[in-house]
Amino acid sequence: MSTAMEILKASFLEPRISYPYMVLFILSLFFLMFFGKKEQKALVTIQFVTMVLVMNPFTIYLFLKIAPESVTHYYHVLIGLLVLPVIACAMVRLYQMFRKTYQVIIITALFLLVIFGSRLLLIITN
Amino acid sequence: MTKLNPLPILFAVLCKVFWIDPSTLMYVLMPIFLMGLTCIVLSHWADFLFKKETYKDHNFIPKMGFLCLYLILVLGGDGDFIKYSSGSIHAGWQLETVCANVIFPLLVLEVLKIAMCCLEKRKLSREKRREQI
Repeated sequence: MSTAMEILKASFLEPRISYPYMVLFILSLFFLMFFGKKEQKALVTIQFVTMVLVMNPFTIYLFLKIAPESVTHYYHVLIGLLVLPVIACAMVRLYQMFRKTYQVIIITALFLLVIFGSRLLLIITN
Repeated sequence: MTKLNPLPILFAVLCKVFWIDPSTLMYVLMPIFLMGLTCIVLSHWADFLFKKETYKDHNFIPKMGFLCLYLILVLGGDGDFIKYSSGSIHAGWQLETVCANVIFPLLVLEVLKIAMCCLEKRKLSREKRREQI
């Protein structure tokens, strides 16, 4: 079980580039849960169910038993699948709620800062 | 065996059969094909998430916004975290990339559509029962 936890940690927390994505993902999940349309709520539900089913330590432990060397590859595939549509959908919904020009500019700037900010920080610090 | 191998083997066979240079296939033809395919899958996602009925036929801008934001996210996450989603540009020969960009999103979309259909049918049957009562 401890190895499973280590893999989970390595998939989510080790690459520093993942922090802004995870924060955005969680915020987007809650945002769509409360303000989303019917289809968007369905998307959130299915992503949440998949996340709980696939990304718990017990499933990772099973994965490790079946294919120990490929487990991180599978998890990187799944992370991309889970995270990206939810964030993109939440951003579009946010744009629909705040339509004034200055609001759109602020939201876009924040979005780009969060996405590329960690990369910029890495470049600056190195 | 850290990679999923069947797809590279298929490409090797294709190169041999059609007399194409492997580097041309992997770095020129595959990215074009895979990115096109990814955009088609994403447009289906956008169609589902921003339906015409809910937006009164004005769903073009949300759909394009969804596509653009998705691609910006892919660009930003290139490297460690979502490397297979952005792999269509430089690692199209891996099956993981095809899974992350085409196969899994399509599967999830189909599951979502089925779930929505079931919910709507259940809603209709409930309404019918109420009317009968």
